[in-house]
Amino acid sequence: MAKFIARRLIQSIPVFFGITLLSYLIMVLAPGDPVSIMTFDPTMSQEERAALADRLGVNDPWPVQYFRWLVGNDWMVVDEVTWYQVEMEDGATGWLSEKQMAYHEETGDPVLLASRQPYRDEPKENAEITGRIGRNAEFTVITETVEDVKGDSRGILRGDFGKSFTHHRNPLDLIGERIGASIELNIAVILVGLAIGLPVGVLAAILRGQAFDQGSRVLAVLGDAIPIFWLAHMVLLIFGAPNLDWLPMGGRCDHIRGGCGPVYTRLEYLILPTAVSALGVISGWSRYIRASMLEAISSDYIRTAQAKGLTARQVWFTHGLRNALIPVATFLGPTIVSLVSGSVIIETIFSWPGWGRLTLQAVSAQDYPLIMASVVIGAVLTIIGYLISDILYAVFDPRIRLS
Amino acid sequence: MKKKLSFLAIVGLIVTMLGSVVGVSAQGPGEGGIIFDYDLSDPTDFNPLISGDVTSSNVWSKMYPNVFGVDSATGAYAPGYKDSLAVSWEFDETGTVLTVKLREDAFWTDGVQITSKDFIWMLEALRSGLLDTQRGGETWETLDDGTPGSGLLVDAVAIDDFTVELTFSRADCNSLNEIFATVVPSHIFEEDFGDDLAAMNDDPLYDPGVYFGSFVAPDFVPGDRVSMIANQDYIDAELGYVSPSEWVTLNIPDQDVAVERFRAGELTYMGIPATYQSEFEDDPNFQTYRFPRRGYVFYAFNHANPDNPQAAYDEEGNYIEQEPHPVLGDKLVRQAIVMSVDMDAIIENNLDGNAVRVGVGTIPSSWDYDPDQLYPFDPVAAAEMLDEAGWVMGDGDYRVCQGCAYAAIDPDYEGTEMALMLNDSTGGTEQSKLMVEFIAQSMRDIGINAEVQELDWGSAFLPELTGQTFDMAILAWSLGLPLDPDSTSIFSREVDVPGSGFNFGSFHNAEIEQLYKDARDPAKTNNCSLEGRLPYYQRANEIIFDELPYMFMYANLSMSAAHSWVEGWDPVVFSTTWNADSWTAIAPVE
Repeated sequence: MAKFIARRLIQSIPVFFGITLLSYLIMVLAPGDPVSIMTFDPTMSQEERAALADRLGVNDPWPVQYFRWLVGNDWMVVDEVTWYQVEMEDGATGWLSEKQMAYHEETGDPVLLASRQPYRDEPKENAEITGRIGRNAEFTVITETVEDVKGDSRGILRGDFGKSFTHHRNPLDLIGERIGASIELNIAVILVGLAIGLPVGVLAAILRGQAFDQGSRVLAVLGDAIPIFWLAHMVLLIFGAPNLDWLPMGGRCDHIRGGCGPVYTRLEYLILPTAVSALGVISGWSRYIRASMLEAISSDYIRTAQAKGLTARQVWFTHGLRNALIPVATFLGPTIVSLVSGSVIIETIFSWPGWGRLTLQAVSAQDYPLIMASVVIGAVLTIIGYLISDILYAVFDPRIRLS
Repeated sequence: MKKKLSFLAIVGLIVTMLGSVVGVSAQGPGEGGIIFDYDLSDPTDFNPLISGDVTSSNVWSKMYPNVFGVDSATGAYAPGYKDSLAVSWEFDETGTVLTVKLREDAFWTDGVQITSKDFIWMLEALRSGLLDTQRGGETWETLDDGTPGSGLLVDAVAIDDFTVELTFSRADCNSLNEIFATVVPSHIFEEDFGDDLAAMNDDPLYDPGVYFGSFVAPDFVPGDRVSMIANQDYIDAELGYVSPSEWVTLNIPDQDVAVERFRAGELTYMGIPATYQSEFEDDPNFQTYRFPRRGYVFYAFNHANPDNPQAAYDEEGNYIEQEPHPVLGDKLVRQAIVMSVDMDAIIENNLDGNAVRVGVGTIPSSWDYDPDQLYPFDPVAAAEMLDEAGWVMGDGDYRVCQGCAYAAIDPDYEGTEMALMLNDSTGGTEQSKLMVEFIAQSMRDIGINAEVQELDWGSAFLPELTGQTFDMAILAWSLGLPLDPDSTSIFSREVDVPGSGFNFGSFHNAEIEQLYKDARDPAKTNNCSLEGRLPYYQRANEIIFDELPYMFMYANLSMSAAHSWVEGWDPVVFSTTWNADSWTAIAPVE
């Protein structure tokens, strides 16, 4: 088992890098750019837009951007700045950077771009400001030096996911704030889905061809066919009738300051989004379980059990259901991913503060760091999810060997 | 005894019934209930110095004062106005030095007086260039790190505790508009950040815990809400105290859902989307207020050839003559298109009458608005104009070039069908989609093969627009306060830069640029008086009306609504919440 896990983990490494590379490629090659979206404001100057694009690093070729995102650039020189040590009229000395200077058109002497420019005690951007001089002040350049400027990104391999373009925060913090809400909602959806879908599927198999089976099939088709956004809006229209006030129509908890309390104190907020989401899950699972049950009961071991004189209950539930549930293990991998990735439509309509909605907003805003952080977490969870799924499959079914 | 109990029960029932139809009036500070409104997204910053989005400004603008007040009723600067610090200001005779006097009765919630130092500290922080913000560049001519800005401010000095002197690089009637002037408690910011101003960039949700405004201390639940509590030390309160106890802004990312939740009583007030306005207007459960929106909708015309987008100037600053758009490069064609569209029908049918036509880039509440500056709907005349422009009906349904202006540049163009692509963003409502299709059909009716393409805003619409590869693109501009007719930032040649400039239609007109410059020159405008500035803008509007950089369409009539039980709700044209500190927002008990 350990060997299998180790081998799968090693195989996961190229898969992980493949996912990130493809995702990054698709993201940066998509038409449009984040700076255009962030700066669709005529009052901003061209220079400010260019400065923002430089700061975000989105003007670099995509391999450079990907490499920087992966391994950072704090170990390499990304720019050079010339610093001038100057002596002011009053005898004070200080350092001014080339960015603060222009050159006089006629004399070629360095002059200041603006008034009250700060000079520093060392030729460094973050050195202490020791004074300011006016635009027309006289000064003499004593010496000059070139400072190497290194990048400030460490890259995701060293845990630096950068800073969200729109939220100006660490993407992992943003996802961390939302992931709990997604898990909470999706656990509720899966529990409700299983609690209803499983018995409906089993009963439909037992009562194959009878009214219950036919009815559940019709309902399952309906559940699958009804668009979730339509259903969600209908639910809001019904429960939003003036003065009805039965259930909250959105959000995750009361507006008590300090965040949301434990989940059992705010179950009413879960009811509508869970009910709408669970409909599709119930439909899918009930049909899947039904099919799996029917396959199981047509097996030889079931006939053997019946021949041995076991009761119908024992045949169906002890032998049939137990074996029918084995393929369900394969669902666990994707389920873990869906647990956290959230359901974008439901989160949007019911104002549920989950990760899915955050990712959708990041994609719309072309917020590269946040998109990629979501991709990385999604990729890791997917890899882990499928690994667990494979292991469980083998555990449940001894006929399958991990080798 | 039994009779008495029955009587008490009846009294109780009557009280309960009264309670169900009558809201409870505010009794004093913090007893006016909770205001609930919504935003489509989360705020990203609570710190005005680094914040750039509207959602965030809705939070911090409640906490901190602005130096220059804007009258909510007129949209003009107003010394001594609520929530602002400046009681007077005056330019010197050169028009470049502004002396601002601050009020002396304003204190932060920790008891420290608000002085010139706070204002200067904020301006210097913006100038440092250390903050991840565009505000520094918008305010200052040059930042400390040498980055050139678009602002005019070159110096700011405190003369005394309540007097500040601002120096601008040139005399300009709009110099005040360019300054960011929201003041923060500098003593706390200095204590928390010292000289390391860049540390603010890593702490966008920083809250100093010291405020000035009516609602303060934001409690943020990401993706869910921001709650702010009433500040009973707020000195500009209408009633002498803040009536609501709290202001909660919910994050509701879907406008239709917000309407449902408003209707259900989960929101106190909201701006009503056009398609729901009639519904709310006649509903006695709501009080409504209509006002012209601060912005207008238009179809941008590309005047230059979309196959060869060029900047107006090369790197050396030499003017580049643009190759005209084969169809839209001709003014007669643009005018014919405008006359082919029944804009009144659009307003009536697609917008339920909730809009006012505009003929140039100005809105009814602006001081340069001329209600008569409108093209008539006349498809017959429009068709004749196209004939005159050398576009004649071909064998099919559409016109072809026979002596059109572009054929003089490229003789092979003769016989080409008159076809245009109308870009629309996928984010639009169903009504806006119908409207765009109506416009396309109107153009088809006069022989133009007009097709609509819906494009995703970020990945397709914007790249085509700013890349200048479109024919026509529908957009809307929102106008800031105070309202000013200057349109240099969208109609000057300097901002005709493919990829980033906002003159994306390559509209070039040197006379307009000069008129805008003159209109901002104190020496030419009787020291910036509106009467002195108006003739320049009127002439500029005449040129725009004739040249048509855009097909100007309409300014929406916005509607704000509040539940009937909200007391004190008194919206005015430039703000629907200016007196929110005096509202009573207690829903009746059922």
